[in-house]
Amino acid sequence: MKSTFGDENNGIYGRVSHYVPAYAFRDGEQVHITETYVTSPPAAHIDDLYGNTWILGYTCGIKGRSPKGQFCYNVLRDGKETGEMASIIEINAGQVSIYTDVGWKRWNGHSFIHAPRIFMFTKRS
Amino acid sequence: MYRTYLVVMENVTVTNSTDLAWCFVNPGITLSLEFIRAYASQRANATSAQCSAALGFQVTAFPTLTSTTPRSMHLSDPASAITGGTAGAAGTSGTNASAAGGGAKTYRPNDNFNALNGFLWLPGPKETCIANASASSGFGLYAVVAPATLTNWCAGLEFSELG
Repeated sequence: MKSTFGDENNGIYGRVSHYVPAYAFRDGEQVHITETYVTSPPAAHIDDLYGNTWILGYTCGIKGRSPKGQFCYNVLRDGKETGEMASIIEINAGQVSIYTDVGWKRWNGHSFIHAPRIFMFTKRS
Repeated sequence: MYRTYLVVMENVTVTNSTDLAWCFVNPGITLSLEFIRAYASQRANATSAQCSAALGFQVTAFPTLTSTTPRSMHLSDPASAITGGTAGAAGTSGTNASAAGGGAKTYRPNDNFNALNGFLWLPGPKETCIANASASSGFGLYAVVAPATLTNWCAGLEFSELG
């Protein structure tokens, strides 16, 4: 028996799904933002300072474009395509980043750019 | 080509009890199912609250469910071989259990999450769960402990049909 992910030419890689789940959208005016450092998965969604909701969609990226040893899905912002495929969405001190086949990309307010992440260091007392 | 389907509940009020299946799928006698995604989230309030989620297999007796037909995840795919059902029987699927059922459960991932962030299980290629045809057990997403706020919950369980 072959796994869904086991066959590059006959698996679900690259199959386009237009399904957008209910949690991709805020129900009315946004009432909270995600905490300082959260990643999806395991969080279902990430809500940033500007009222955007970020989720991983249901289109599985082709195998050669996935981060090694992982899977990748389309990145949706308020239910709309961003044109990126990633395995992780992260928010760190308000900065949204995604992990793609070419490494970390950072959201600059308009698109994702290939740039190192911003790390937040805290001084030990 | 593998076909994927989603058993989903959207903005429902869940039952206040332990070990309840929020989504449950029992393979039929011909097709094995591979589970590749599960999620749960709520939109009732904006207060941090710890919730529990577990994925696992359950043997008979199965939970009592709201009948839910799997949705096709790709345009032009045919309907799933799994049909909606309320008893968790072979070849059926359902959501939002009102009774847990007495069958033993074997939880695989057993996790906790903040209600504000929701819960998403996206296994890697070698971490998926497969329910074999005629295995006499179903696979579900469970709330091990009922959440503090019972209203406006969404949950989904995505699977593909194997040969």
